[in-house]
Amino acid sequence: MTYPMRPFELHRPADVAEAVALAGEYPGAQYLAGGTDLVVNLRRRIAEPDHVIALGAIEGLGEVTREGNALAIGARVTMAELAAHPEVMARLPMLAEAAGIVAGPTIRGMATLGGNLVLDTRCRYYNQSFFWRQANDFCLKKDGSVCPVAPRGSFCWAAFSADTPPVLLALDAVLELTGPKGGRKVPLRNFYGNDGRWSIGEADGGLLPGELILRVRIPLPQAPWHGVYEKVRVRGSIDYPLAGLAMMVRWKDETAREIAELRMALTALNPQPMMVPGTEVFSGRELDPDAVAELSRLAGRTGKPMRTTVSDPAYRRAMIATMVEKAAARLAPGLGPALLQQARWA
Amino acid sequence: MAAHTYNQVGKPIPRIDNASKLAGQAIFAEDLQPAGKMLHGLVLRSPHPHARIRSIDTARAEALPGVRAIVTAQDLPDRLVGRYLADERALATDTVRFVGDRVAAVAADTREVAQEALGLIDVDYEQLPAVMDAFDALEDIAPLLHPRMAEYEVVAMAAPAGGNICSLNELSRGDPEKAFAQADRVFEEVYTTGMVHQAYLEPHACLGIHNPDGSFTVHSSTQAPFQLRGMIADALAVSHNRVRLVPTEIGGGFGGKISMQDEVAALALARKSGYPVRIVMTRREDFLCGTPRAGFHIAIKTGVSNDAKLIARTLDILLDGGAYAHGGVLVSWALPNFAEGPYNIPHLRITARCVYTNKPPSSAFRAPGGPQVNFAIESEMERIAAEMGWDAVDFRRNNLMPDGHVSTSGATMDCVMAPETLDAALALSGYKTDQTRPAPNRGRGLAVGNWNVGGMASAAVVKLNDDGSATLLTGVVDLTGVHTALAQIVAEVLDLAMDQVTVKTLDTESAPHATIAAGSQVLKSMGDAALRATEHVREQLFALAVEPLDAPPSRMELHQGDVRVKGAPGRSVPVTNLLGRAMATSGPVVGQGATGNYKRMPSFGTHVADVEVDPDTGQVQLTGYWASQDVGIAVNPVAVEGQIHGAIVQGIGMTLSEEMIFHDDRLANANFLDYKIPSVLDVPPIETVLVEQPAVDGPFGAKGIGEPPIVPVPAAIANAIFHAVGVRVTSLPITPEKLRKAIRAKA
Repeated sequence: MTYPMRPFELHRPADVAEAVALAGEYPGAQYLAGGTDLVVNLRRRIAEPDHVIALGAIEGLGEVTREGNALAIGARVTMAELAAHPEVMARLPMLAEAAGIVAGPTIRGMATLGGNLVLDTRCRYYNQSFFWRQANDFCLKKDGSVCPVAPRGSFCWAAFSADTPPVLLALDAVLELTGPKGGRKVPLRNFYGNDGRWSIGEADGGLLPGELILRVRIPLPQAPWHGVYEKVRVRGSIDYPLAGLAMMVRWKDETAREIAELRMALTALNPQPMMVPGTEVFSGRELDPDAVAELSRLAGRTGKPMRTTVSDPAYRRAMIATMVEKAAARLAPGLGPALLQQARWA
Repeated sequence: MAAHTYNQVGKPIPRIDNASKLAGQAIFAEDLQPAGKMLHGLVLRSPHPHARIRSIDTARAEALPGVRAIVTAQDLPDRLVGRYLADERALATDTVRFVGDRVAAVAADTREVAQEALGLIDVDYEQLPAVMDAFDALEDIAPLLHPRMAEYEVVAMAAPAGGNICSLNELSRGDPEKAFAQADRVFEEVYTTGMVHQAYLEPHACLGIHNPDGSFTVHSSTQAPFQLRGMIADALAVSHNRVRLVPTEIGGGFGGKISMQDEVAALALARKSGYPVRIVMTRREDFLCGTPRAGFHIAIKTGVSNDAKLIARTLDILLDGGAYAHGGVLVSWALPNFAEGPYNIPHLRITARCVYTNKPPSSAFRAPGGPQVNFAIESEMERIAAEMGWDAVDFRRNNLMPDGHVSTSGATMDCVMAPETLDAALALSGYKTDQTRPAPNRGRGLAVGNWNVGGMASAAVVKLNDDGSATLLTGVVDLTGVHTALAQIVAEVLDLAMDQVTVKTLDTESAPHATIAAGSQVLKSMGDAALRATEHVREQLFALAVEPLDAPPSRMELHQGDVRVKGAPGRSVPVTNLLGRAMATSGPVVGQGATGNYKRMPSFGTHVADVEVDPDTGQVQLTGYWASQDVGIAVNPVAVEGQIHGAIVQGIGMTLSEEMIFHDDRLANANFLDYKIPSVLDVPPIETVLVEQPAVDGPFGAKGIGEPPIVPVPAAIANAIFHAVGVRVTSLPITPEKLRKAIRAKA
């Protein structure tokens, strides 16, 4: 048996102005783009808006354009388009890589960049049917008062599990937003908050009521950067990340693996995607096995997996170091064998 | 390969149902739309794993506009039903025993109103302690699911043994204990497997109609029309002829569509409301209430001699049967017949216990019990060989059962093709017995599987049309493409083209009794019935031709629409002429054929898997897969190959990622995001070889093929993982976290 979706009114605005006007008129309305996240939540009654504003008829949100030293990507560009876009592939290959391993091919054809940025947080107590949640006395994030993951706290640990945000954090992307109170630009690094209930919209730069992401502006690096995205999941073909890591590096001396600057960001381990702080000190150091070990420890202090998936949090925690090693081995020429010698298994 | 001299049998003919399915014209139960008003039914299911029902108040739901009927156990006869042990009610009276147990049902004008009404039914539950693990269920202090089990009627096969044990089965030969004492080495290990769902594409669905004469019609997506009709009639306390079961097209079953689901609820609603009522499960409901493969706990003990002979073995198997005695009882009963594996072991004891737990009732799933037991047996063969320093292939070869082997149950095994499939798989995969690792973290594994296919009764009718074309009337549903093979058999005997044969699935009122579409038995059971019915037709044609051809029937043959005298092509008479004669004399030509219950046939297969393991994440990538399968004669090789591919993919799922996970006493992953079946991108290239040796008594020498190819999959992959990284995970599924943990424990 299922419980019905809560009835809602569907709006199909013709342009952005009409969309945000509707959002202003109907507080609590939700935008619908690809629907790969929202529709599932509607059916489970974990999203219960009275109004849904479908963005499908609006033109101009699906382009990738070069603007000086930046690439501007429309919020309705799909993951499949992003993964195969020549300029993204050429200039920002790690973004193409992350987009190309979101879910499976059919979902990538629908899921949008904007939707990926504001993906609802996920938890094994939250992403369940109404029947299941009701029988389990609900949870803090929706309809209940206790977080079954950490019953004594008053914090929601649902994990933010999108693949492109850590890459965009590392790239220092800027969001172009518009809303009932006008437009603004927000660095992505100020966008997320750290409670699973409101990781979108809590922070200083978070989404205001009725706001819509129009475009994501990514500064194109002057000096060459190299970046990779690592993702651990059960099936290689589909699935949300159990843990994800973006790592990018600019070399002072590539052959000597001497770091000019290195950035790391994590996903699926916390209620928000997070930059790993403290990597500045690696400037001038060689990316050798010792540095990798230190980077792993650093990342491990940032990632805090909880009992939000059916996979053991200890496994996800262990994957942080594994991902750092794999990413470093891919980025630093010749580092792979050196890491292998140190690895626990040869 | 046997040389075929047939026109249709042995040909890779496309499925005769392809066109209707590709065009979207096939009618599934959810598509059914009777003329006139139809209501949408939904079932209120227990949210608790174990509870007493104090009261059910339907008043608020009844008051909702658009609600047409609500039924509870009050609306049904006070009957316990079951295929093996009568332990279940169509709707719960006083106790619910798993999350999903049926409590009440609603019929309304729309599905949305029915959904709303469910929320308005007030059920007062007193929660009871639940037991979610088969081992815990054996404890003295465990809550009893069926305290009155001793009073239940044993319908078939069940051997209740007190406590929560709904069936206990044991077979043995020789004296294993004495033989262990004399063995040069004894090995012991425990293997466990998870509860896995069949994950068919189409969830359960049915349409119930209460006819003006008081009888019932029910359309259902089922593998077992006749057996289901019997269950429904029992639950409604009417005779079987008062229930007409119309099987619909079936969107996959794999054993999961044999049990009764919501049919009785739909019929009770139809009776109460006066309208047809359709109930379609959601995917989540199907996960909660389907009848999955039982999780197994297998304690295996093996005694070997220094000359690489298996001399003794005991298998102590605990099955998680779930809340009611469904196919778990059948599996427990059948286990001793196949759990000896493909080997000849002089001293053997196999004990199987099927245990009640507060989970969905487990039942049949493609070779029920087969891959679980083979995982233990073939993992042990590899482990023992490694520890004894033997070549694992030679060790197997040394102990494979010979043709004519007498099984523990006393049955003689004919057409044993174990060595042949082993040789074929080695040749196909280029398997080297020296087993050097091809690269770090890469490995190759092998397993030999055995299964017994068959053996229930069927009858069929073949009628000739005026132009000599033929229609096969059958009561069996087409689960696998087997109707194409049945058409090939009819076409072969009558020398017709494929488009001159129609296979028609009829309901239980029109069709003669048919076997269930399960147990790899349709091709043999219904195939034999169809073959005999077609031969009966041919016999009648030959009798009609005696006068015009002036020859005895023994000298006649059918050839492209004519009956002719063998060796004298000029002497022929068109079948249409004979049919005209028949109308004037003996009447229309209709043939009938039947086959009784028959001895199960052993079937073998050897699989080889290549894997690459990421030791850091524990992830396993399958990089190649080879399968040889003993098929008797492949009536339709492309269909056979499809069955092998499908079975391997399902086997990969249960080996690496699939498991119904119960947390906090309830299923945590009742959806396809969290219940992880392999996608096509997770499946390696699969190469197959069919080992053909006509089976003694199959139609045209055919053996069943639906189930056997899933049997060796888990062990082949587990052995490949062992070869790659030197560790053995003894519990399925071998998830990344389990494998990583095992690798780190060893390092």
